[in-house]
Formats: sequence, structure tokens, C-alpha cells
Amino acid sequence: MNTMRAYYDRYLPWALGIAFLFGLLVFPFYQRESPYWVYVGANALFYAILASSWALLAGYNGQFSFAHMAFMGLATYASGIVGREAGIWALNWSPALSIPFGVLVAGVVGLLIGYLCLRLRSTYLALFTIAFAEILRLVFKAEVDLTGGPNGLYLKTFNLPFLEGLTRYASTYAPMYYTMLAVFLFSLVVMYALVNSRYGIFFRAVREDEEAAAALGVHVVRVRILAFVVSSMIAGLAGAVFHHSPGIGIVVPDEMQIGRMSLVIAMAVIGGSNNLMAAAIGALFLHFALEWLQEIPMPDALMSWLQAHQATLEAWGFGLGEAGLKTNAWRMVAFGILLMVTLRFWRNGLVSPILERIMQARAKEEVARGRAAKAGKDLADVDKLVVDESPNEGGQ
Amino acid sequence: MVATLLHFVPAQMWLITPEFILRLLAEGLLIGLIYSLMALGLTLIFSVLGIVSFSHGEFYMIGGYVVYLFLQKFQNSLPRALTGIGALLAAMLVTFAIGVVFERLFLQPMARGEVDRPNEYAILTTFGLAFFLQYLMLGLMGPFPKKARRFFDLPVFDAGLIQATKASLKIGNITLGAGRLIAGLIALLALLAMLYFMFKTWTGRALQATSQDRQAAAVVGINPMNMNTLAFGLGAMLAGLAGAVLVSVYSWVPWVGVIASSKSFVIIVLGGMGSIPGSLLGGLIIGVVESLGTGLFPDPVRAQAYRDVFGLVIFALVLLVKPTGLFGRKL
Amino acid sequence: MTTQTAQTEYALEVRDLYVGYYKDLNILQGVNMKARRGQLTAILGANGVGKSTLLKAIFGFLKPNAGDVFLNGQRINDVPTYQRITLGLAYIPQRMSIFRWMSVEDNILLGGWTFRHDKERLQRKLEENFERFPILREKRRQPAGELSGGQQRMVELARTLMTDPQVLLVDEPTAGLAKLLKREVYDMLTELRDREGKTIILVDQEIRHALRIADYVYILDLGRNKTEGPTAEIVADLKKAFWI
Repeated sequence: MNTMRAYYDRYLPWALGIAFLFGLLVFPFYQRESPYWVYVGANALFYAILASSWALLAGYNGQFSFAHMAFMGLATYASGIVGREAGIWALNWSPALSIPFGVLVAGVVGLLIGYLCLRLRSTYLALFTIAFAEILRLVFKAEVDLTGGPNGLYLKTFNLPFLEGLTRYASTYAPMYYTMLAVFLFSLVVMYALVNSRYGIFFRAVREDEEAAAALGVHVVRVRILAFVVSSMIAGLAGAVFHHSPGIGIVVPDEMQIGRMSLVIAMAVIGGSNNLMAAAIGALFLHFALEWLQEIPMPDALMSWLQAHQATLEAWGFGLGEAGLKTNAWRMVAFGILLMVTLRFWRNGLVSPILERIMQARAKEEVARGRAAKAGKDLADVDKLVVDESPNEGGQ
Repeated sequence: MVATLLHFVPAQMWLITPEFILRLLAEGLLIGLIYSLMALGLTLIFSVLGIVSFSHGEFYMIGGYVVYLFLQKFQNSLPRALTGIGALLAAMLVTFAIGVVFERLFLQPMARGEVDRPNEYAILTTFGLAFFLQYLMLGLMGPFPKKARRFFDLPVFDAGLIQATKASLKIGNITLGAGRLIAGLIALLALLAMLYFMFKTWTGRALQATSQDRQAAAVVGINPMNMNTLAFGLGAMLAGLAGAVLVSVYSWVPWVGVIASSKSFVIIVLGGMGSIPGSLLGGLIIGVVESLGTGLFPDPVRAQAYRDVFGLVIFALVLLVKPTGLFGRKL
Repeated sequence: MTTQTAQTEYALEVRDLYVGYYKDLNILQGVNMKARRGQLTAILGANGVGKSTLLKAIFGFLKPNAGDVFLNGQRINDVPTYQRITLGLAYIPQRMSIFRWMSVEDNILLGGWTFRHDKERLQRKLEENFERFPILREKRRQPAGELSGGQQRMVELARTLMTDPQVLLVDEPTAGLAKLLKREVYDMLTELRDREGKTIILVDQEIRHALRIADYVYILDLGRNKTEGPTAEIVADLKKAFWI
């Protein structure tokens, strides 16, 4: 019996992981009658990448950045501008060249912002990144010659011949979906590699107590900047690829607004921002849920009540009208309530505890490792990695 | 000196007359008063609870909508001035109530020390409230801009240099719109009332005491938890009032609070977190900088778009160079 | 001010107190203490044995995991901290706890928060305090944070005395003060006991001074009672009593 149980514990995560991956892979075939849902799937993957990379920055490293969407937009715009055929800076690069360039720009700016933010603690960092994100958005909106202004910038779309063939068997949006899936898997691999390296422990140590981490010899400056740069680049990659894909081809500055950012944060938090996979699953699930809620009608009783009182409500100045009589407008309200309740009662999110339960064995191991790091027993490893010139440098 | 400066004056020089600059200054100061009011609310919250409320702009938005709804309902059944006063009171009451309920439900557990990583919790939970309120109002009011009618008139008079009609005030060659003028005056009154409350009443002093030393406040018999609730409610109310006076100047959409809250962040950081004089002065500075910056920006097409950038740039610089701001006590 | 009619012999009593910052890690492990009315009881011990923790627990800033605190024979475990001043229990923490950016007068007046609507009594009490500490009258308009350390202690004491508390918990009142000032502070305490009959519980590192003014001494060792006795007995047998 015990061995059965052990096998079960050991292979359940793998089985579920493979099933999940398989589900993601066959989804466009399963939904080949309704390309819309494949499109939604690609969007969901886009949000999943953003949510999980934000979780890397906020949940693992404790840097509550509100500029994540701004980096997404920055990379997209940088890529779009060098890819144009005419106008300022137009170099007519192909997406294959311009997307890496955009990601690089996001990385460099991320390095700069990460460096500037070193002195700032949680709340101040949040404030600074909000300011940065808003400045960037407003500049993109104002510099019409360079960015196309509020109407957006048209981007070259990429064509992947080996994926184009799929449209015949799956759906029109299959190439876009599979590209996003590839980016999603790639970024998860990168982030998990990072988190499971020694740096993962450093990330958490810095989050728990920066001074203590510095005292243990963790190079706080390097760790914080690394987290910032990596997550910015991943956000940039997701943004650039997503907007260059055949289904989109345009980017508008308002995608960088704080409202969109709050969507990403809400997804990561509801999923569980202390776990990359949980944040990603949360985002996938919530994006689908939101789209699905758009479809279902309001309960009849409520609907008839609203219709009966529509005139009264409008006389009061409520702008319900057409929009208010669908669930459409209210799904986000429900989402907001879910967010706040999650924060209040399930600080670790809704998906993350489930995942941790499934991965109990590994979770225990990780906890033990975290404790070891905190107790300073991991210092042998630390020595190899950390340039120990001034451990206090990042402490201020 | 003047001649060299004139070299740098932009092309549309004909616009920049002393009157023009004076008008910009006056408008900047009027708007600045409202910014100060909002920032004072945020300062109050920060100094007592030790958190920055990321839902401050949403209280501003709610305040505006309450006035709008109130006017829709009562403007034909009540005398004009009474409707105005009633609308302002309603806005204050509603925002105060939301603030109090939210504080009791979500922030008290933090103050009692029941939450891990209180800083992160405070950011996320106030942010969650902002998210919720924005979409709630989007559901209730729809996405289309609303604008309330001006709810107070100026007294009509003509005293030579100063002339007033219902809709505008003329001092010399400078004309100011009544909407802004009245909004600024109400904000000024509210600021004075708030200062009186903070420095001259027992409750105000208790709030100050709690912000300066929580433990000592409890020792003398002040209930710090009640002070938390009061401070958050009052802070929300001030933001609500700021929105209430501006709803007849700007058009109102559910996300109008985003820019407003980022402005109050700018101000409290510029003035020094938790400093009352800092938030007052900071508000005026930002108001004037924005107004002058927009009016004197070389390219008028971009000027409007860049209006909100000026403050944010100051903000980023202050955060990086001197995070304690002008009057900061401590980080 | 008249005190309770049914006077117990001990103004304050602590029974089997277990206190800690975490649930399963108690700093105080079953401390017992009684403070006789109108006397100065000193609590001594090495650094980190939990003396300050004891005072914090008595005043309610830390919730006891087990054990009881009695004031005038009444159990006060469940009285919220901010209401304890109304029971006649006052606390002067080690860290200077004045309102730094408020004037001296406002600081002292806030001590009367619990009877803030009684203007006449407020004025009377304020006058009493200015007579007790004449220097504060001169500096009444200054922000309290600008005063010297000794004067800040005076502000604190004056603020505390506004409500006429019968029991004062005093935590290292002279930490960080100049030598000359220390004597002054201890004289203030003895005067309060001798003239006004206050019960004082003093936690201190200044053993010499504490033994000079105390009536009864408790010595703690690692969260437990070690020795106790009238000051004379303790002084007579210092070797037995102390950790030195």
C-alpha cells in the first residue's frame, strides 16, 4: 500500500503536467469549429506569461512593479518602430530581427529602472513604477510621428509556414495560438531554471529580509536587478510576439494603462503570486472565465426587474442602458470581489494551494531548502556565486 | 538678460502676454487647491495607517458620480444652491462610508498584525478596491462621459476692476471660469476646515497623536484602531470632495481617478510623505507647474498630451533624488 | 481624588504569567509579582530576562499566553490597552513616547483625553503639572521633540499624571540621560510615592539608584522569579540575589 501511495505521490505531478500540456496542445483542434475560442486561448496565454513573470518579480522577489505592462508595450513599440518601412527610425527590419531588438530594449530599460529602484521599498517602488508606466504611455500617446499616437502603431505580422499548414486542420488562429504557446513554455522553462538555481533562493531571501540577506552575503543589488531585467524581458517578449502575430498586427498605447496592469496583477494574485505555475494557471483560467461570462445571459428574474425599472434607473442618471443589462459589464465587478476576498482570506491565491498539495513532496523539500537558506546553512553555495566586495551595498 | 531669455521663447510668442501667464497662474493655483485637498486625504491616511492607498483616485471618481446622480435627481425639485450643498454632502457621506467599511473589513486585520507582509497586503488590497470600484461604476454608469452642470453661480456684480457674471469672473484682463473658481473656493474652505479640525479639535489632535506615536496614543487612552478607521474614512472623504467639486469642470468616466490618484501620489511624495504642509504646498506647486507647463510648451498640439507628464517627471525625480520630499520627516 | 473604597493590600498582582512574542516561545515563564499599595516596587535582572516584557504584558501591549493580571483585585486581562488608563493604570515606556511634533502644552493636555470634555478639570490639572515642572510652563509652546531628554521625560510624566493614575509602570526612565539628570528623575519618582501615595513599579538597569529608592525588590532570571524581598534584605545579601 505504501509503495502505491509513494508512486502516486511521485508521478501524480508528472501525470497532471503532461495532461495539462497535452490539453494546451490539442486545444485548437478541439475548438476547430470556433476560431474565436482559439483566439481567446492565445490571449489567455499572453496574460499567463505576463502574470507568471510578474509573479517572479513580485511574489518571489517582493518588488511590486506596476510597470510590467509598460515593458510589454515598450518592447512591442521598439520592435514595431524599427520594423516600419517609412517615417522616423524606420529600418524595415523583419519581425525575426525586430522582436529580439524590442526584447533587448525592454531588458536595457529594465536594467536602468531596476537600478534606479534599488533604493525604493515596496510602496515607493509601486509609486515609482506607476509613474514610469504612465509617463511611457503618455509619451507614446503624444509622439504621433514616432508611435502613431492614440490610434496605435501598425506592425508587420510574421508568417510561419510550418504553422500555416495547421490552419487547414485546426483553426485560423492556430499559428498565433501555437506561437504564444511556444513563448509561454519557453518563458516558464527560463523562469523555472532561474527559480530552481541558487538565485531562486536568493530571490526569496531578499524578499523576506533584505538586510539579513545582505548580511548573509547575498548580492542584493545583483539579485534585485536580475529579477527586474528577466521579468521585463519576458513581458517584452510576450508583448512583441503577441502583437506581431497574424491575428493582431497593431499596438495601441492604452494597452499599457494601469487598468490592464491591474488585470494582470489580479490574475497573478488570484492564482497565487508566490508560485509561477499557479499565477499562469490562474491567468489562463480567469481569462477564459471572463470571456465565458461575456456570453451567458443574466438570470431572468434579475433581467425582468432591471427592464421594469430601467426608466427609473436612467432618470436617476445611471447609465445602464444596453451595456448594463448584460452580464458583460458585471463580470469585472465579480472579478474585483473575487480579488479582494482572495487577498483577505487566501493570501497564497486559489490555485497555488492546490498545486502545492499535489506537489507535496516537492513542496516540503522546497520549504526545507528555504529554511536552510534562511538559517544561513547554504552559505557554502553563496560564497561561490557572490562577489563579496560590499555586502551592504544593496542594503540601503 | 531678458533679451537672451527671449531667444528661447517659442514661436507662438504672440500668445504669451503677462495676462496669459497670470491667467495660467491663477488657474494653476485653483486646480492646485483641489490637488492639495486630495493629497491631504492621502497624507492623513499615510500618517495614521502607514500605508499609501492605491484606491484614492477611485474615491475621487465616486465623489464625482454621486454629485452627478444627486443633481440628476434633485436639480428640478430643490433650489439650486441647496442642491449643490446637498450634492457635496452626499458625496462626502458616501465616500466616507465606503472608506470606513473598507477599513474595518480589510485594513483592520492588518493593523491587528494578523497579516504577513503588511506592506504588500496594503498595496494589493487597496489596489483591489480600486479595481472593484472602477468596474462597479462602469457597470452602473456605463462607459460614456458624464458631465454635471455647474451647481453654484457667482454673484453678479461689477466693481470696476473686478467684474463677475454668473459664469465667469474678470479681474483686469484675466477671465476665470466660474466652474474652476467655485471648485477652488470650495476646496480652500474644505482645506481650512480640515486644518482647523486637525489642529484645534480633540479628535484632530488624537489623529495627530496616533500618527506620531501609536503606543503613546494608546497609553493616554486613545483607541488607535478607531483612529485608523476615522483617518481612512476622512481621507476617502477628502478625495470624494475633490471629485465632487471637479465633476462640473471635467467630464467623468469610471477611470477618471487613475490620473487623479497618480497626481496625489506625486504631491505627497513631493511634499514629503505624511507632512500636512508638504501636501498643501505640493498641491499648489503641481497645479501651477502643470498649468504653466501646458500653456508654455513649445508645441501646442503636444502640450495637452504632455500635461500629466510634467508632474510625473517631477515625481520620479523626487523619488530618486530625495525620497523624503520637501518637508519629509522620515521614510 | 478618592480611590476605591474597598482597597486591597496589593494594588497590582501578577499570577503565573506566560508571555511571548510567538505562541510557542514564552519569554516570561510563570512570573509572579505583587506590588503593595503606595510603595515603589523595583524589578531587576540582567539584560533580556523579560523585565520590559513584563511591563508591556501588564499594560496589555502583549497578550499573555497564560496567567492573570489583577488591578485592585480585579482581573484586567481582557480590558483593551487604551482603556487601562481609565482604571488608574499608567505606563511610561522606555523609549521616549512623546508626540514630537506637537507643543508641550498639547502633549500634556492629551494626557487628559479620557476626561476631555471637562474643561475645568483639564485646566486645573494642567496648572498642577506646570507647578510640578515649572520649566515646562516656559516651554509650553515649543514642539516637544525639541526639548532635552530630561525635559521630554518631564513632559511624559506630566502627561501621565493628568489622569491621577494610582499605579505607574515605569520602564528604565533614565536610559540615555545624563548622570545629573538621572538623580532628578529618581527624585521625581520618590516624590510621587511619598507625597501623592502612588504605587510605582520600576524596571531598571540602574541597580544602585533602584535599590536606593525601592521599598521591595523582585529579581528575575530568564523569565522566572529568582529572588524577592524588602530592599534591606536584598542589599544585605547581594551575592545571593544577583547575577554578578
